[in-house]
Amino acid sequence: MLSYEEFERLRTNGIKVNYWVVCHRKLWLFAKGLRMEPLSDRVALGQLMHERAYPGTPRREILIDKLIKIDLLESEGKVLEIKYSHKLAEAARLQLAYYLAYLRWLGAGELVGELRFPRERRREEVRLTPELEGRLAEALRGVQQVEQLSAPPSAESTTICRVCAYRELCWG
Amino acid sequence: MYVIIVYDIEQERVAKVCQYLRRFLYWAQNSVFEGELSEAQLVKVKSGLSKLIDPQRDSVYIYQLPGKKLVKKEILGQEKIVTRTILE
Amino acid sequence: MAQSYYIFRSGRLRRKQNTLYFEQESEDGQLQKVPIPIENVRDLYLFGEIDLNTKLLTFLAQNEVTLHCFNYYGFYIGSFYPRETNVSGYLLVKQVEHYLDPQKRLEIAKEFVAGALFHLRRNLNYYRNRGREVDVSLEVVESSLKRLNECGSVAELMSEEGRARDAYYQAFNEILELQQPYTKRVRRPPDNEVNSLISFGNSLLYTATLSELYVTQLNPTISYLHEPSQRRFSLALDLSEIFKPLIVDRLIFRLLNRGEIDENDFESIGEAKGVYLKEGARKKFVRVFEEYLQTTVKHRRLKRHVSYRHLIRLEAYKLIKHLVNIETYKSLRAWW
Repeated sequence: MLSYEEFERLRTNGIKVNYWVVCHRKLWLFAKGLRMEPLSDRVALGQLMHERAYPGTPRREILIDKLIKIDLLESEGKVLEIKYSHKLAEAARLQLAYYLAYLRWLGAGELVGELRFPRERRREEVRLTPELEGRLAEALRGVQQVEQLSAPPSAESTTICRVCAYRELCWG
Repeated sequence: MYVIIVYDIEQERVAKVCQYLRRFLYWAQNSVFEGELSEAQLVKVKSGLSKLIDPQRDSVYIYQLPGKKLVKKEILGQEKIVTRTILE
Repeated sequence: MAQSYYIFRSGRLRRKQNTLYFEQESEDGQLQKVPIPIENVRDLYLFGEIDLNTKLLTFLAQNEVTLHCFNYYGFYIGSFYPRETNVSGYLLVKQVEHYLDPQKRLEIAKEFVAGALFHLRRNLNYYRNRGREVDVSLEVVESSLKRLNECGSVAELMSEEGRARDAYYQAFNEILELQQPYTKRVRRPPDNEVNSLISFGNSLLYTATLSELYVTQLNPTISYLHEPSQRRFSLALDLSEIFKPLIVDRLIFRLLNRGEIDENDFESIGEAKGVYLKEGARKKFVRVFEEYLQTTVKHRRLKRHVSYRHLIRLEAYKLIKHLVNIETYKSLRAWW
């Protein structure tokens, strides 16, 4: 588990935690402002899905410290993270774990999170176990390391590149 | 993808629907729009339309075709659609 | 799905009901309205005499649409390049760093010229294979290409490029069936039909490149081959060098050799030297230019078809990769 001081020092954008799991080069480019998400139809689809999912359930979006955007399921007090596909579930899991840890540091106590993949009708509960917190700490330290690199990390073309918003920049 | 949208909307809402579709597609004739959209744009159009219509009374059909080149279109009589990108 | 719209009519362009409308009064006083679906607009080209207001510009900026204006003679006069939302201070620093370091600047500039000359040679080879006497020009371009590596400064690079281009333009007399021999490239204003076509085509390509640069984080005012002070968006000049022979020149050869545009399509400007394209020919050029930009080739690395227009964007991405040290820039060499 991270100390409060370490958390203060490593505090970052939630998407970066996600990208650290997916691809270090993508994280590096994103951190340098070379963002490709606005041009991606798939990213737009993801955002629309997020907005349109569960129309009957009251949810509240809260932007905290301009770093993390929490999607709160009010009735159950759960933090939701809605994703297009479970393919990158580990990235989503750590991103959500980061939100839970962040809220705890702010004094919100032990919240429960839930990953949802509406297209696949899947859900997964996420709680901050010591093991998950260990992985989160590693990710947060990793994000900072990658951001401090003066040259971008190398990358390999894999199957996930095919749907990545950064594909044409990386491989075009 | 190439999309054709056909609708039957009650009078009090029809103008709003027509105006909304004009932002994305070309007006082909009364109650018909068509044009090319990305997947995300189509989702956006659908979600916008569902806010404008009354599902108990109105009806919207959406036909999706893989691409403009795969559409064989014949017109008898007047062609009303303006899909040209060069306005001469 | 974004499209370029070219408006030759005169009238008013306005924001109405959250989309664009082009309005024009017809002869019988009726107001004709043409809606333009804003969500599918990449950029607008205004050739007619068109009224617009700041409300419209605000709307275009919100939708990240660039606007390119042309005067009565079809000469490019400027662009509305809305405030960028997707910026990278880091990349800007890298762009400047590569400009200030003469070695780094030369390396990039050299690639632009190498790409341009490669395509000049490609055009000449195309016509040589069709029996045109272009060997002399071809030799000059070949030798310039070989000497690029020895160039120690951007000035040397420019003069090498100039030499190759002069020879290339000489070959126009072989490629085109002209009544008056083509002697040299003259700009602002162009002094003959061929120069007038080159100028018009280049301005279309320059603006298309600028529209592509707009969606990247590259700052279009910092350039490497041209001096950044030369024009406002000089990086668009740099990048379009690679594509001019590939797109504009090919179109000109085609239009003139097939007689789709001939001497009757041009007009002089008063007494002064200066020739411009008549409106009909301008429209014809725009139509084939747009078609040409939409033709696709199979991209070997992306393993899918990409349009010529998209190749311009990919060229910008390659430059970004060079600047941030992912991959050394190698300019496009048409492989098809």
